[in-house]
Amino acid sequence: MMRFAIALLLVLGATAPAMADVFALTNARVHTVDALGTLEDATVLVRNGRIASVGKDVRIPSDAVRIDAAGGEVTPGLFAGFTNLGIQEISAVPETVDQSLEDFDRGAGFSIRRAVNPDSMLIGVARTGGVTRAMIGPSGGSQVFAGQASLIRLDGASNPVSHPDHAQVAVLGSRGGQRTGGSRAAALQQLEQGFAEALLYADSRALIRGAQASSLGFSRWDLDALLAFIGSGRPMAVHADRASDIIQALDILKARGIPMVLLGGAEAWKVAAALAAADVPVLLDPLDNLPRGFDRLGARSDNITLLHQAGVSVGILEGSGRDVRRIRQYAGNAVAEGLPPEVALAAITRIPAEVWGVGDTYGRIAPGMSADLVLWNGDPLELTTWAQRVWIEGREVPVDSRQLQLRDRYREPRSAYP
Amino acid sequence: MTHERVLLLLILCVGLAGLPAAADPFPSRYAPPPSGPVLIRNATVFTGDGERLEGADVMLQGGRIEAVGSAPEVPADATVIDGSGRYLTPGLIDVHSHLGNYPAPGGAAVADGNELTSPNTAGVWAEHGVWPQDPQFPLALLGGVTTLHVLPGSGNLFGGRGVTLKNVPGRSVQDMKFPGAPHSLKMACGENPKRVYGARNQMPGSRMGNLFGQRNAWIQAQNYQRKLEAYERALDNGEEVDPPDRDLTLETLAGVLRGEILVHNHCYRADEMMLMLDVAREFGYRITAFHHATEAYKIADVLAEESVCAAVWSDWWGFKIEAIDAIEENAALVHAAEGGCAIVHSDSPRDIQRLNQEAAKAVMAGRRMGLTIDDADAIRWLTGNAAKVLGIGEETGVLRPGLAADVVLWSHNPFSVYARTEMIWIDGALRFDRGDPTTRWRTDFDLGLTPAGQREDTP
Repeated sequence: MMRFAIALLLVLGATAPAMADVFALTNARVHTVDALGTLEDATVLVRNGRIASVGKDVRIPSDAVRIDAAGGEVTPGLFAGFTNLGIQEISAVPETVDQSLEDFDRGAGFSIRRAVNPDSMLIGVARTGGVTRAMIGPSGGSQVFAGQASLIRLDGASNPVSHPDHAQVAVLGSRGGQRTGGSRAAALQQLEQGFAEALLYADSRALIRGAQASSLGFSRWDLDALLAFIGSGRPMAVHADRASDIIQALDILKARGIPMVLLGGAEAWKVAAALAAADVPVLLDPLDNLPRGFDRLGARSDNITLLHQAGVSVGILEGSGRDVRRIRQYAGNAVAEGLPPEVALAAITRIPAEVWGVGDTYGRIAPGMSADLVLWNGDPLELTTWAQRVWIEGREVPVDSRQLQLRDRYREPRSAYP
Repeated sequence: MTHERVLLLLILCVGLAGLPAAADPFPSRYAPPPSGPVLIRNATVFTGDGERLEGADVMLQGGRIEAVGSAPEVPADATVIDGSGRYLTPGLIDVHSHLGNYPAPGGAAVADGNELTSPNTAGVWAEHGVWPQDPQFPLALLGGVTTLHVLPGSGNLFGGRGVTLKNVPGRSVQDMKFPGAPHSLKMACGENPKRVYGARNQMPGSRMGNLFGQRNAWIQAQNYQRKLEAYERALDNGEEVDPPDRDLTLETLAGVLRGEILVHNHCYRADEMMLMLDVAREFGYRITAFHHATEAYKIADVLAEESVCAAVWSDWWGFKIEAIDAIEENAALVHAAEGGCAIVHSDSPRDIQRLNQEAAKAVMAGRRMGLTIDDADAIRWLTGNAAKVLGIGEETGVLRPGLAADVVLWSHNPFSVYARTEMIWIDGALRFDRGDPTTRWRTDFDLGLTPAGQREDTP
């Protein structure tokens, strides 16, 4: 019992923000990504892991530790919109890949939340790039339903999952078709079938758990998950690129009253008006302009700008966890493609948080928000600036990684080894 | 070209290399369109060999760079361009690309860059798999890439010959071939060859097998070269002898031993690069550059001493075991070694569009660790150094009078994320002008699929 208590203390110590901490980050250019916009020579006051106040005339209490930002720029911690950080370590090493399924039939019921690796070497690398939160999702296996996505924080906590099983993920288009006999039509049909069976299952659960279970296409594990999801208000994230697949998915989900988040959307610009009208946000990679496949012949460099101009809420994603530090480069390029700079910064902070329904806690620097902050030595979207300090829930986390340790060992190659 | 002149050329080639095979049976048919003189005034110029000039003028004439720095006498018919607030660099050069060999849209039908049927396919040529209508070429041009080196993939110990291309439209690859550029030989060590053949229970199935396969091939190449030399001696002595049987695989390897073909060696780990240097010493050839070289920073001093360049990514890492020690500072640390030669390559149809940004991230990493890296120096990673390892350093890669007028005008400092190319010349011919939609290069593939200019940005 004593040992248990100590273990509990250790866990709390490692995960909970230091509750008494009060600090003021002064002399900073603060990008609030909120109504106040960007403030010159401003102060951010943090208390108990939350933003207490932000502005040019913040009263700093006497118990606050003062941190001089020396004119550096402060942004909310970057929010990776959708990625596989923590569930895939080395893509070519199967034993480190937990995001996908082979020879195991589980779809909507597949949850990656217990597979997240808090010791992943990718986390330090991402954090060194200013990323503090990430929505991580499965790529699934043999079904259109890939499984459930969870939200994690990058503070090195032993359990980094803050919002488990927060969204469902589906894969449509030609990739979906590969999972359903070779046709994208069957992929769309399986999406409909899942919802229909879940409702049927709800009506006759006892019966189905008995003799007739085999009469349904989905297992009870998947149907339980879908049932819990329908009506929860949580979104269905849909991978689709071709404009026609996007519209079909929109129709199916609208009919069921399920909020949709579009992932990828290479041709989303073609159906921007429909997405805006249905209030469907998009998470995309703005550099993904190549017609790599026939689902995406209409891929173009200014997809994000056209969607924004049409009134669609657009955030940025990088699917590969090892590359999530690239999202600010993507945001910078979006600016060069005509996206207003404040929107581009929002696309890697506020907007993904809002897309996943946690915009009241993350993604902005405003009173009451989680104190996830990054101090940069210049324009946060520029390539030649870097993150100097990072805080998550008010606790400073090390800007360190295995990569930086290798760098330091080989600073003078001759002295590292004979 | 008349038959007599072809024959003369053939004889010249035979005379130079001593071998009928040295005449390129697939000669370049690239010819720059005629161009008038162009003067770019008052730009910030990165020359590509380390210099930065403020408020400089650059004059292009007859396809060549006429003057750099001071305002020359301006011909009456010159097009004058205001470079104020803008940046001028040599055309960027990607030393590691698979455009045309792995075009978009992808798939088995068009995957033509890896002849995975034998660990030694030194006799295959990347140019024979290049589809000039790959819609990725124009996107690379928009990123300022005027020259690219297309290499076979890394599934084999000897992948085949690489080819250097001008990034211009053509009906066949020969319309793109960089005149006079030497072929390369793509070699690979590490995981890829042993994975491909090991999975088939063939050699190589281990790193030991990799070295065995390479050394065996070089022994055969030496034997072949000796036969060729004996044949030449016999000819010189006026003897009537039959030439040795031609062998396309060994022709390539012997070309390396004679120094005519440059070795570009795919290799990640520091220890393996050291072994490859030993193999090169054993058989008397030179490795021109290691490609990917994710651990080059661990042996930056050795590479500098050996005068071997490292062509690297900025932030790719961790996709396989041999890539987990890749760090963002790699290029900067290679560059910082006394005499070090860093190159930033893409190996990607995505990053080739932003080679300048890849370099910028490497610059950032170097500065973050306290190294001093000038922008004008770092631009060499994409220009002067890249031209050097492709054997075209006396032709392009630097803004110097007499060299090809391969020039890019940028909206901002190219190391800024906001920089976009505004105008691009190749051999003095205007190939892209952001303000003039008629200059957009649209491949056959894009016709009917995308409205003009749509693939690219529109603002």
